[in-house]
Amino acid sequence: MLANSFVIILLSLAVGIPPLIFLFMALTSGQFDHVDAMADSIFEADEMRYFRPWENRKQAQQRLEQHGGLLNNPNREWERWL
Amino acid sequence: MTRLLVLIMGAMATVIFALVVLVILPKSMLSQLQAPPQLKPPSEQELAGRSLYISNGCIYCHTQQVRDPSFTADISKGLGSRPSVPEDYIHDKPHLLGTMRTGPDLFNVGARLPDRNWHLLHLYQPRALVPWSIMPAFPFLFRHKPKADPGDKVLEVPKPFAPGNGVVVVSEEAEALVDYLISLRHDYPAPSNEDQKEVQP
Amino acid sequence: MTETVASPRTQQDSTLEHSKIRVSADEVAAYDHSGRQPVLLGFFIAVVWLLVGTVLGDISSFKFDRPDLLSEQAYLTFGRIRPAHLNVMVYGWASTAMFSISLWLMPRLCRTRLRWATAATAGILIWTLGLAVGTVLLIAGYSDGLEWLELDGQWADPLLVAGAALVGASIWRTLAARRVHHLYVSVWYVAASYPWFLIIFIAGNLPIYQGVESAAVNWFYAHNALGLWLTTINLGLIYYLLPKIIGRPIYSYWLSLVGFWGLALFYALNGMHHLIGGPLPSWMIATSITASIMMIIPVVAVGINQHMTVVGRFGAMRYSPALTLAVIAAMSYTAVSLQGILTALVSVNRITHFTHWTIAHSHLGLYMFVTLSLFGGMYYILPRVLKKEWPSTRLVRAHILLVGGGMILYVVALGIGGVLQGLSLLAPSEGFEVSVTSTRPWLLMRSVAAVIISAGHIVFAYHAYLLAFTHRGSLTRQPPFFELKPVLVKKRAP
Ligand code: HEC
Ligand code: HEM
Ligand code: HEM
Repeated sequence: MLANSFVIILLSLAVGIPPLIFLFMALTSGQFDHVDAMADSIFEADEMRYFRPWENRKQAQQRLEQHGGLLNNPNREWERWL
Repeated sequence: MTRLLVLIMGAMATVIFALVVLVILPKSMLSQLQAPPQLKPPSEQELAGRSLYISNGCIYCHTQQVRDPSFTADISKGLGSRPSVPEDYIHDKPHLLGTMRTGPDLFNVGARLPDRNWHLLHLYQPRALVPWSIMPAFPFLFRHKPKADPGDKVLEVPKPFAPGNGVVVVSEEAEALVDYLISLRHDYPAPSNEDQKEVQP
Repeated sequence: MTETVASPRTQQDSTLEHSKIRVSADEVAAYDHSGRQPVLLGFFIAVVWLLVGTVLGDISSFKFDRPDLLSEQAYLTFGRIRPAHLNVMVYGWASTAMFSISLWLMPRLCRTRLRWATAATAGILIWTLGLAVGTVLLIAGYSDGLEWLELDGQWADPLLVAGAALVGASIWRTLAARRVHHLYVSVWYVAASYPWFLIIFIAGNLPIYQGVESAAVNWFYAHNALGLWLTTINLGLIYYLLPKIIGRPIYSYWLSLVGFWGLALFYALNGMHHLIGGPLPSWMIATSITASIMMIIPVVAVGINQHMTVVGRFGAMRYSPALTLAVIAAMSYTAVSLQGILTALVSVNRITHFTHWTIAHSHLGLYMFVTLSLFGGMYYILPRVLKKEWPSTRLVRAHILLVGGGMILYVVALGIGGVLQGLSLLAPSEGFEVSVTSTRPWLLMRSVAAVIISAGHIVFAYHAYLLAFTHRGSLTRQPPFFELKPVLVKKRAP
């Protein structure tokens, strides 16, 4: 029967091994070293540096600490991302 | 590039793995099943009825499977004498197991309701027989004529459901569908468990 | 406030490759513009299908209350309208809108313009043609007979395959041309969905299965159409919208990694839980039940990740209908998955299998999660592609309240009705009649919900028409700002 034949074992190996190899290559070449940066990649240049009206004081303070000084916001810049 | 390869090959690996486990392996295992001797292959007429069953969507309200009595009431409610097994479906293409029991299971309806005329009237207007039924009527499987021609089979429809004038004549399609329904009986004992053992890994 | 000293985080960031190509608003607008044609076309077609599917869903629902409604003609019988509803909603509304969403997301995430946009347009048209042919044949009585795979194998399915392949080609070509190294979470979900869909759809449609194999492949396909197609693209969209609108990066990269690969591994094995108790070899069903329980891992990972991104900032929902819908959709994803895991347990399934509980689950998933996420996506994307604003805040509110309220009624009513039906199907002393009569009031309530939801769809379609085909949006020059009048929260914006 096919179930316990070599075909299945070979197929599983052929399908399963390559992605693992590539994953290993990716790991060793450091692609996963700065992973949290990836989460920032969707933002525009100064996007994070505008105050948002729904944030309380503590959250605004956090924004300031993490993303640098908040930018002037006369035109309600953050509205662009709503 | 490595990132893309991890993504595409990893994604393919998972789905192919599932395909092997849930489709390819079972297909090769089940190909060894033998039809039980009491299960007759369907006749032309029954197959025609079966395709009407498909095209009119009976499957969206009716199942054709009897589940194990250890955790369901299927058998104590008279849907069959035993749980259904893969061999019972060997001639089915496509399967009609169904997922809704808005109406009762039909796996053994031929044994439960062997009366042709009951089925014909029930298809024409379920509420003529079962007042609380929410099954749709299928009047388009019948012909409404002013007068019956020779050779026509006239359906007796009780008063409130009969058309104002003329007669209701049974079409070949309705006959085929009823033939199919009556052929649905699986009251033979389950095939000996040898084959079933094979199916278990 | 003006510039202050750069924080440590910013300095560290500047050493990373992605930060070098942080883009400007103009560039983002150019990415949006590159996919304009297929994106708008897809959304237009999707809304048309949504309206068609709504009519079909309403008729199906009313037929439970009035079984003799529209029963004279074969093409109006329940058994044809209902599968037409499913196919139109899943392949017409959801899938076409998902094409547009992926075609809009990929350029932004890959930081390059959309490649092969014409192929994508052609793909959407071919897909639509295939679906139209398939639906007409289905209504005319030509069905392949498998739930979710009813569309005609000869005339419709090849067109669907070609259409999805063309859109997928455009997606993957754009991905190959990307200008960032990192692949954002949404990219994995969106890009992987296309090859997944093609594999399962082709495997599901091969005419080589017989008997119970045909059941196995049927539910292998149907479950993966949900898990590896409808779910994934919408999760990808939500993973983009939540952080982007709130202005805060996603909580944890590692959790999204766990969520994605857990889903890929376990979801694909889930199919046989639709056949619990059925005549399949019991190891197959056991495998699927186990995989369903394992789904708790990716579901909780995604749930925590998205919740932690929004937490403390729910007030932002008042400013953005897109965010409102995306948050509700994300919560519904967690809810429907937990409900599903529960339903896959034999002790629960013995009651709820074959009942309207499943329909409640379906719509909790396909409506509260998938459809609301698609609405949210359209609220976000259309103004950016059309460069006009949604003209009316009131229509937005009316839409969200009608569809949200209506669907809650739908799901709760059928959830209760389904359990009553299931209990009565199990009670040895009760005849079948009880399971029908005890469900009917709840089915009636579903029809009421259907009317409410349909009104919401009409409002939405009208509003989309105003936006796209009139000048109202550009005349009023409203900012993209939609303060939803506080429904739950009292305080006005400063
Ligand atoms: C909207 C759901 C629905 C559809 C569609 C439907 N039925 Fe029914 N069916 C029911 C319900 C409810 C009952 C139980 C009440 C009754 O006997 O009419 C039933 C009962 C039956 C019975 C009697 C079973 C018994 O054990 O009493 C048969 C036979 C039947 N249906 C055949 C069909 C056929 C054939 C079709 C397709 C042409 C079909 N049904 C389509 C809902 C449906
Ligand atoms: C106006 C809103 C809607 C109404 C009134 C509605 C109504 C219905 C009805 C009456 C059924 C048949 C239930 C049965 O057989 O007992 C159904 C099934 C279904 N609907 Fe809807 N629906 C709506 C919206 C949607 C949307 C937007 C989608 C998907 C995106 C959808 C997907 C489905 C699916 C997949 C099924 C099959 C469920 C199953 O087999 O378990 N529906 N719907
Ligand atoms: C871990 C997650 C999930 C699990 C374990 C799960 C489990 C189940 C089970 C066991 C059934 C079969 C019910 C029965 O027939 O008795 C089912 C049906 C269904 N589920 Fe889920 N579910 C999950 C997530 C989802 C999601 C996210 C969606 C929507 C996007 C969804 C949509 C559906 C639909 C539409 C059906 C009905 C299929 C049909 O009969 O046509 N499920 N689910």
